[in-house]
Amino acid sequence: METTLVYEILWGLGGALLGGIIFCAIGLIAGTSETATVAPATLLVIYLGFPPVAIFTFCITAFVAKHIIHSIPTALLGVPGDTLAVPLLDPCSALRRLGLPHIGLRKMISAGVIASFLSVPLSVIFAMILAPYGDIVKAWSGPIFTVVAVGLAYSSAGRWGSICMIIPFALFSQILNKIAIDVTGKGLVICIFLGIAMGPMFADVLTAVSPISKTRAEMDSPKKFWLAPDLKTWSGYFPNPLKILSKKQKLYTLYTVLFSVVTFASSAVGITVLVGEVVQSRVKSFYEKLTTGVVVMNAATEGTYLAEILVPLVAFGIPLSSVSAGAAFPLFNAPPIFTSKPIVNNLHNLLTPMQFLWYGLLSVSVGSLISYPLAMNYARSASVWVMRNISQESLLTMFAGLFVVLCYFEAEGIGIAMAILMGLFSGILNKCFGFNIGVQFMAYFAAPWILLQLFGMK
Amino acid sequence: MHECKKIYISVWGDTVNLRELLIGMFLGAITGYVSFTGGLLFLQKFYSDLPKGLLMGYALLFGIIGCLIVGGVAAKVFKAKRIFIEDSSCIDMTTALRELNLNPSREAEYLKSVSQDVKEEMKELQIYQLFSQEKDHKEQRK
Repeated sequence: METTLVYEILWGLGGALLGGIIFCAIGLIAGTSETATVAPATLLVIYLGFPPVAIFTFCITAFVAKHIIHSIPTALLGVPGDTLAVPLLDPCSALRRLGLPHIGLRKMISAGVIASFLSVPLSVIFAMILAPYGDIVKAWSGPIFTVVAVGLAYSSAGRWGSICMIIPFALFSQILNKIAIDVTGKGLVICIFLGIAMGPMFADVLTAVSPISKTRAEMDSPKKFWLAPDLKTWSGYFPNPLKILSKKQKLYTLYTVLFSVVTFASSAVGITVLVGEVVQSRVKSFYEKLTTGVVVMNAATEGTYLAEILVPLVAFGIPLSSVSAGAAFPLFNAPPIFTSKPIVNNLHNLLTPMQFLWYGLLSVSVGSLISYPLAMNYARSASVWVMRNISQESLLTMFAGLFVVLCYFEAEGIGIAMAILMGLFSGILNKCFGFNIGVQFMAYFAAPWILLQLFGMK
Repeated sequence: MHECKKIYISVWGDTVNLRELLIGMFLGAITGYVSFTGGLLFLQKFYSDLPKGLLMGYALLFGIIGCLIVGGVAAKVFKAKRIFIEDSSCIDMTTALRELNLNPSREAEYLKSVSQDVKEEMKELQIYQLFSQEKDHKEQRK
């Protein structure tokens, strides 16, 4: 009995180390989606015949390590580590302008680590007791997103202008979606997100190439950037994430994870935007607003991501959320080894809730131990190097390439066209009317519900 | 000094040379497209038995590698058009506040309700005086 347990723990640890080391490196590559990287690697591990515990720890550690490391390109370069990081671009850009990208990075990943540790036990408990409430929350997500969109629009710089733009924006985004469905047979997510995120850049480039507006964008000298001193509050190599966040940020992280676990059936990006905007609207001082914003957004991303995998896996064994139907799909379905239809025969049957809990915590610990100190200790020196050596032109060159690749990956040529259209529309509304990115994301999530209520449009 | 006579364009919070930016973005988009579709064609020809999901996933990796290469080449060719200053006393941070559409007096008011631990953090980062609008700050930064 004891030998079996030791054997199982060693497999679990081995799987976690393998996933952590591989995806610590892959996380540095901006734009890599989990569906394209972690899912195939998990499939490979399953078909190689790894035991269930090792498959589970490999997959969870891969997600945790990749998420921590992909915060580096997001915070320091302004290039999203993956589509989940897109909502964080705006506060990260403001933090860079203030010379605080390394502080933003540290806050983000510390919140991510804390959220991951909290999310595992909460998800397992929720899966065992409260899973039916997930459907209720999902049914109410449309009205919730709409109310938040209106509230955010009212508190944004555009105020009444922004409120007036919610319905046209919702209609525009849904029309683009319908066109994509007509052409490719599926809706758009990545293209719309990239379009909204890159909107201000599209507007800046349009302004610069138009002889009428060019003078507004011209500058006589390069911008000056300063980097705040290093705030190393720990000794040795391993920092304590609890000491990096303020008391208020720790509390918000806890609330965020609780909320994200309950809303496991909703979109991880949607919850990230929702939580980020609501919390930021409650904090007045700009520095605290930005740092708390990145803290709760990253906590929401990590919390929802793990909950989206663990709750359906522990409670049902059926992929009921977007992450479980995408990046974590091999844990549910890898025929003939794992199946969820017509008979559930996957990790749900092979591991007990207690095994999910302990091996989940082991995975988060290994993923954090590998990637967290690395990112924390080198955040400022990496920022200095980026400031000195990486031009904005080269970042936007890479970003243009990633934009084309990710849009083509999702919906081929029509995806690129739709993303550019969305970018132009969103960027102009943002620059000219103060219709900010957070309100745009909310309006996009609320769009199906709004249009169904107003025009009966499905 | 010669650099200062050039006309720069402000794009996405940083300064760029418009010609270099447009060339870079065009080449980036083309490279991304060619590396993704080229990778997909290669995989379809030599690994046709792979499931569609995996085929697209690996093609995405080809695409991303193409983007990284073109980004690396662009970083070598296009030099950064920003002035990086290590010493905080040499930079007027009020410009950054203006660019972020912040009202300094309102920020100073908001700062009064911020908890002590955050204030300490801001002091260590040398940005407390910037937001509090204390006299000391103006003297220090100008």
